[in-house]
Amino acid sequence: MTDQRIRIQLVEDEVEFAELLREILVHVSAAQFEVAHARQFSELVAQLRAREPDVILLDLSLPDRQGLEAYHDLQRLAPGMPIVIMTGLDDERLAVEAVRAGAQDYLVKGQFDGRLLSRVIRYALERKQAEEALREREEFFRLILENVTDLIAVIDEHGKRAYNSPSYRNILGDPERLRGTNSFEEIHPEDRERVKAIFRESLATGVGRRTEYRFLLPDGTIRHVESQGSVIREPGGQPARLVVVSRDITERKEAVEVLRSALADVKKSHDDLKAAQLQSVQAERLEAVSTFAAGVAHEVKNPLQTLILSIDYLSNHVVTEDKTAAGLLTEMGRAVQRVDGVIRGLVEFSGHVKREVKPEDLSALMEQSLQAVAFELGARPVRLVTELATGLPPIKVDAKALRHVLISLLMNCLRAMPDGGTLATRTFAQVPGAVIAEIENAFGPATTTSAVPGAEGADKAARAKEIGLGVSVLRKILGRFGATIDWTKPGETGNKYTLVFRS
Amino acid sequence: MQPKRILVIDDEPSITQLLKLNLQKTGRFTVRTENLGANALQAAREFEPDLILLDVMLPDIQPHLDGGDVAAQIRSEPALKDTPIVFLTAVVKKGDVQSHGGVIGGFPYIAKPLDVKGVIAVIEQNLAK
Repeated sequence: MTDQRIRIQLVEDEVEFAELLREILVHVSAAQFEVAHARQFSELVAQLRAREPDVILLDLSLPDRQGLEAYHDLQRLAPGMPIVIMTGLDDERLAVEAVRAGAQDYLVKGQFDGRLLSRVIRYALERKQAEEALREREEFFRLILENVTDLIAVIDEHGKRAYNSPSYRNILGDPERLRGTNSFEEIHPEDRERVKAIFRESLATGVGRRTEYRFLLPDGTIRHVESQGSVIREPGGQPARLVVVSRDITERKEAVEVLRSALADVKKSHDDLKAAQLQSVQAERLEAVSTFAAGVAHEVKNPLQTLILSIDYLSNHVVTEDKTAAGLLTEMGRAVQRVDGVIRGLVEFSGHVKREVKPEDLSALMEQSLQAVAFELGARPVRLVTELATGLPPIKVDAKALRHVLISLLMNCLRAMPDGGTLATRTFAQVPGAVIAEIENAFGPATTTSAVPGAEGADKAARAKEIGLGVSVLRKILGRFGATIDWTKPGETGNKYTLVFRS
Repeated sequence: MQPKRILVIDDEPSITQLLKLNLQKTGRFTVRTENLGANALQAAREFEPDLILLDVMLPDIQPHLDGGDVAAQIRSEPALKDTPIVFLTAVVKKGDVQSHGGVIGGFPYIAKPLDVKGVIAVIEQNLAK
């Protein structure tokens, strides 16, 4: 409106009535109304083009347009324009229909005065403005709803869908067709009861909750969804509907999963690295101990030499008469020999000297090693299986070192099965020229079962790791006489070591 | 029989001293001892030993002379080049010496610790050559 006056477009073929209307309006307030008049529809078209009115008063019986057709054509011609229908007494039903179709109001000819007319016009304008505002708001909210990626749904107290935002199209298809359907239908069966319980609880308490669950779609795909419910209370205060704002978090979940698995990979390689480092540290430590042992041995040998020469001198030249002193000197000599033995053991261990590599019988060495762990063997409910071949081709090894290796492996196996199990040892010859020793354990029929499966797995992994460390060191020792060790894990159930010697 | 002249070179005075006591007490050996590698050659020149017992690891610092260096010096002296040298060592053990026939790197060895009987046996074995 460019000025304060309300511009009225009359569409009326009866000139007298039109004049009457104009008079009435001017009489009510000449300053308020400005009236234009068209006698038929075709005339109106031209006038509308020249000047846009604020309201149109339309007679439904024009020479060139009648009835609802006149109304609809006008509506098309001037969309959004408030239209008030004018009708005769006999046509009131038609006027009501036009109002249903969107006309603002109707007036029955001969039954209104200036005050009513002016009020009808005013109300028509206000109502139209209100409608316009409402339409704009609706449009505004529709725009929002169409552009949010969040899923917005209204669910009635029976769990039926009352509204679903357009964003549902990507998950459940046409939102219009969802109306009235069961909102729990597509929820994953494993999550459904839980979500239903939350729904009931929300309605009962009036407090919505946040939860995560999955949709299981007809094509079998799974979508992860996070939802926040809010209760809409009826005027009486009774909760009746739930607004649910949800978000498809499948990608986030998948990203988290990817991240988690990447993390697990990183952790695993870190653990592997740590284990490898530990092994090399262990090996280095062994080297250091070896060097140290060799050093100690050397340092101790000179004093021992002094002692031996002293005892010799005293025995041979000084105390030949004194039997007690001679006995004591003999004892001293033996003690020194024993220390010398210990020192030689250290040197042996240090690996800085050549070992006494001689042809040995693998079965005999295994037998001796088993005897060495007899006490440990007896301390557990372990079934021992031995299949030691007789007459094996001799292998060139240092018996002491190999016994050390075999005992270590047997001890590893025994320590790995505190609950018992089976320990199997085998020796056999294999062409060409290989002699094999196998040590295998099977974790027993566990007498205690862990309540947490993960914990048991971790425990086993820890045992396996403990064993693994030993192997790298033993491999080093075996390497000295050209033997190899293979460590195979038949699974979570036990370990198997295969030692291959050249005959 | 003339006592055999044995030069003992070891950094441990207790060892040289006790070897000297033990060997001389038999009446079959005259022993001179030396505890510094640097003095070994001079001692050998003066003493003109029949056999030299020489520790492999001599801790001489300046100049550093270990048993190998001393042996090389002695071997380069025309008057001493045929004198048998027996190394004393704490590094190898008896078994190794035996398995190598008591010879490593061309020299006979005595692996410490060895009793007097053993030492005398090695000395006599090498004097006979």
